[in-house]
Amino acid sequence: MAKIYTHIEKLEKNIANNDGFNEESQQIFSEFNGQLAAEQLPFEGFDKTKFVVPTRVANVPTRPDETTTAGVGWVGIKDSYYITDKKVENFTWLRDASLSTTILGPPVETFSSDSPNWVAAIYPLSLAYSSGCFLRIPTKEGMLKGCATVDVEYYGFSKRTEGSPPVTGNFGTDGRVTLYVFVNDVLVGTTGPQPAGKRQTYQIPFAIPVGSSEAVDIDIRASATFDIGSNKVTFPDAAKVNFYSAQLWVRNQYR
Amino acid sequence: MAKTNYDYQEDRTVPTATGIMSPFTNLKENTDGTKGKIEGVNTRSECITRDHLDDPNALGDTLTRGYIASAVTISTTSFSDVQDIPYVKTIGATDMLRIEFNPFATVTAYTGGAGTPDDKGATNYYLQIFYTPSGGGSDVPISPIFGYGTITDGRGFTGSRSETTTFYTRNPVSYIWMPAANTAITNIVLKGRVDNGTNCTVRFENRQGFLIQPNY
Repeated sequence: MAKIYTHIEKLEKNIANNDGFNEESQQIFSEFNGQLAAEQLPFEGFDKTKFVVPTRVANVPTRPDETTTAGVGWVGIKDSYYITDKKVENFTWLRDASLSTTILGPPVETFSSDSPNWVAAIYPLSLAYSSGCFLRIPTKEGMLKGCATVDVEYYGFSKRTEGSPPVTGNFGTDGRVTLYVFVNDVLVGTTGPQPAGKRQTYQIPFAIPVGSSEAVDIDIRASATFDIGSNKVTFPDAAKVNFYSAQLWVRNQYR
Repeated sequence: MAKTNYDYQEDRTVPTATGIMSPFTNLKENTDGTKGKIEGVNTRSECITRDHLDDPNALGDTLTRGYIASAVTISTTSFSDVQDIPYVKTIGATDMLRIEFNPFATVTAYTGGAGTPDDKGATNYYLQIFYTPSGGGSDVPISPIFGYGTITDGRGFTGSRSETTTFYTRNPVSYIWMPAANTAITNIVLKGRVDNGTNCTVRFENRQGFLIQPNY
């Protein structure tokens, strides 16, 4: 508990006035006026009924322009959670006409070396996803922790070099896909470059301090590369990166 | 916010009993219990600690952990259980359940004949989180479906299963469940399925999972 000291020494022949008598009391009153320490609140002062009931919030923006608001949140007394996801749910997709087995799909987004949509720069997935890759949430001062999850498929590819004879080989050794999480355009988490040649669901945990704000943007971005090596090549099989289900959740732990 | 006032005395005035008592009188009047004289903002949030709670334990989070060392295999094209955590509760519209699973996976078998394009076209396995409704009925999916490959390949999408990869990998899956309406459940279940129900078997072992529900 805050200590109170006698800080006025009465001097002889000093004239007493109200201020002199009352000065000892000033700290008491200053505490009453709000300068309290935790110990000054009685231990039995609070019980569960005093806490505000957590609330569920809907329509959390899931695109930067707020054209979609598919996120949901839960706001409690010490922290809040928000989540958005994109569900690819149908096992009815035939990947290629030469195949007979339908699988989960189709992808939400595809980068392909045989179409002009390949984006080598860091690409916000919210351009393709209406949900699952972007959240705009209010925050209180504290920590922002969360996890991004994206189902990514990037098999290797082949290319043929011109020559005598032409050589077709399995390449893709420089094929990489990378996922990133940005908070207010600051990189807070990444998978690092992941080699082509597999289907994998990546989880990217992240944590960053945040201040109080009405709108903090969290989004997932991606980049991918494929190797050419020489301009005298053709691609019998295209380099192709598929993005399927995605999910992004964050927890705002208040200070 | 209630505050006490104190009137400072001018020089060369004689102290009076009223003047000397004025701060105490002020304090007495402002703490007489009348509602509104001391407002909530007087008690800053930093002042409140767990020690101030009548029943701190009741206000913590409910933690539930599941761990199964033994293995389970998944080899069908419909979802079947990978890990089941019993959790009997009604999750309401003001509740939140944080779910995490982290099974240890490997492909144990690719059987059958030589590779065909279909092997490459359908070589994934998938994980998804479900809840079991109280009172019976089919398990209900809540999370997205996430896919994992079983092969590594360097030739587009037309390779064969001879390029199957033997691997051990953790497959972490998390979800934050905030139902819009009260939902009575008995279990939270991680389920898996494969593309190729004839030839592919995925084994999960050392299955870890936990649930966190704030309790206030």
